[in-house]
Amino acid sequence: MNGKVIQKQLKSQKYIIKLGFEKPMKNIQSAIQLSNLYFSWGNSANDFNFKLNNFVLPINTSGIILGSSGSGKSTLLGIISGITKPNVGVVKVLGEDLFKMTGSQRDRFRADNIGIIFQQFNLIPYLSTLENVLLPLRLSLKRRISCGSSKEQYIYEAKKLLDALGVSSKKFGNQLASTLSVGQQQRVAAARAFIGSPPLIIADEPTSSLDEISETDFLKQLFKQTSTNKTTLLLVSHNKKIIPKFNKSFEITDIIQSTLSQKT
Amino acid sequence: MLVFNLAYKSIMNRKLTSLLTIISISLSVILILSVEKIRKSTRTSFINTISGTDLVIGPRASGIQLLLYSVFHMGDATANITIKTVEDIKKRSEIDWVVPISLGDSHKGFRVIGTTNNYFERIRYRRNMTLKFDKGNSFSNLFEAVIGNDVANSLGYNVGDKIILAHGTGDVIFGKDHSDTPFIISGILEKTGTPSDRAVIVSLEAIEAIHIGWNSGTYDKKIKTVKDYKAINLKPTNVTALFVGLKSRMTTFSFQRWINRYSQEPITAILPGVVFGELWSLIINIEKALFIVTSMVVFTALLGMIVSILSSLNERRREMAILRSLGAKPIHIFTLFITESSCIAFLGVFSGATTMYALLFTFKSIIEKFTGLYIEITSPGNNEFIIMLIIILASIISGVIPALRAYSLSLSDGLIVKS
Repeated sequence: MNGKVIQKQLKSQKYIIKLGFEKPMKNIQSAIQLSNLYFSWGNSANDFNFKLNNFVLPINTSGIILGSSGSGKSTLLGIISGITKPNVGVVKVLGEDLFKMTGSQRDRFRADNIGIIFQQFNLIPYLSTLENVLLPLRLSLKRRISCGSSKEQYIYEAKKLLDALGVSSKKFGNQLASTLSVGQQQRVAAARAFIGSPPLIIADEPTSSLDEISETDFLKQLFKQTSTNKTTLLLVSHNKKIIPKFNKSFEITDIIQSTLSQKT
Repeated sequence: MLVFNLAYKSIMNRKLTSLLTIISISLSVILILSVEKIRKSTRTSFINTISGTDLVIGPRASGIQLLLYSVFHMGDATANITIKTVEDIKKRSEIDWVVPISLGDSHKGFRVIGTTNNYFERIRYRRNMTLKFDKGNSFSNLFEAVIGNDVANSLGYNVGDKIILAHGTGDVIFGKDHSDTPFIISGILEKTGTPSDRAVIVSLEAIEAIHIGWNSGTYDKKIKTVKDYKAINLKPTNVTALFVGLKSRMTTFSFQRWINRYSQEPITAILPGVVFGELWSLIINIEKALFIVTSMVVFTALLGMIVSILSSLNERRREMAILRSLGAKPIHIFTLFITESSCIAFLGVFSGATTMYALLFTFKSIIEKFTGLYIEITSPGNNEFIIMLIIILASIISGVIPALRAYSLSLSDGLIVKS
């Protein structure tokens, strides 16, 4: 290690102290803790709305929520990630009460701590594969620091993740994201969620656009990453076959009472 | 930095649409800057029709009228100045030079100016430029004429050709033309972009000579035509107007006062620059109209930009949801769109201005040759900068519309894009 790198690392250390990331962590038992939620898309009773009494996902576990489409799963994930605000209720993620924060603090919290994988269309089409994976680092100093202290290290980290998830960084790294196949795009999205090791990964039906073989493969690699990074995983799916892979499973209808589930 | 990078890549990703928007903005910028440039040049060119002349003196009339017929050869004089008055004026100590002109005849629609030889030296245009001969020389014999460039071009005349002048300036020929006294063309002037281009210039004596036998505007056959002009006194008895140069500009106003109070004959002296200003103020409404029309073109171009960004917005909702999920703040989304529209606008304005100057450089001489409009190429003045700045500001403001829409969409969409 030359002096420059050491200096840079010292600088990063300073940042850590300045930002208070090393403040003594509370003894967090649960990664996600929701209580007494009420949510409605609109004001009238006919608008989609749901109630949730209690939901807890312990730290370092993998959880799956099962439910059909339209049952409010995506809305629930929006609330957990701090983008959609519930009308009433407490949302605690990694010990922090999300909706006691300002919007800006919430955005930073999400950038620092949560990796999100969508059902499909995860990538910014006009950026390259590598640039897509590197995006979270540009928005979060914490995740940047956990990758290293130089651009080369960030790129090395991104390539390592891409290769580990089965997308050859050599071959596809500089290709536009829009030119990748759906399966590849999901893997790139996973790499992007994992970069900088956020403690929580949320995935919204990440395999629904994949065939069965790809799905198995994708999940295998997903779990490999969660175990190496000691990440909490919350996945939403309608595929009951994959339940055994998870530590905990929930039925959406058990968690929330939505207008839709009441009707059906 | 992230936002700039994203904006740049997103613009590059939609090359065709971005390019078309940039082109439409830059075309509108070219148009508005050209109009501004031409407006300025026309004005300068107009005011520079004569230069170096301190006063124009004519029979008592409004300044604009005097200027119109003496300088622009438009309309006719109501009266003349007697030669005695001219002599009186010449005697004044303030006077540096005097060029008399005598109007009233024409040749195929072009005005005839009777004057002295120093006309070609004293009557200047633009910034003190003298009239130059394209071919031939000034008149040295009685029946020789110098013609302007437009006259030569449109009638196909050359040095040595014979022309016949007509009495009066209208289309109706009164009684008879001056066919008994043809003129030989001694010289053709270079193109100047001033009324001299459309003039036939002869000596004052020649004007006298061709009017021998004319009385009160009609030709009297009873009066004998004179064959030997040299035997007759051709000294003019009156002239239409005088161009005057003073020894010192300081004396302009006092001399003007002296002229206006001259008791022997009602005469007026005008400062050409002042009257040009009055005349131009009549045209200023057209100028304004032109400016409004071009502003509308700019408005349309900006509207095109808003439309193109707004229409791309729906397909980009996904992109906004992704950015939000990565921790981008709504303000990031807003800035992304503002940056994109500002970049497009800036590129449009910049390329428009550059193209305009390139075009000016290329076509300057051609424009001057065909229209006589002299365009001075200067670095963009305050006006131009203000116009460009306004366009950039307007486009940033219009970029706010799609950006606000994107902002509110990203807030309401959250992670889920409702289509």
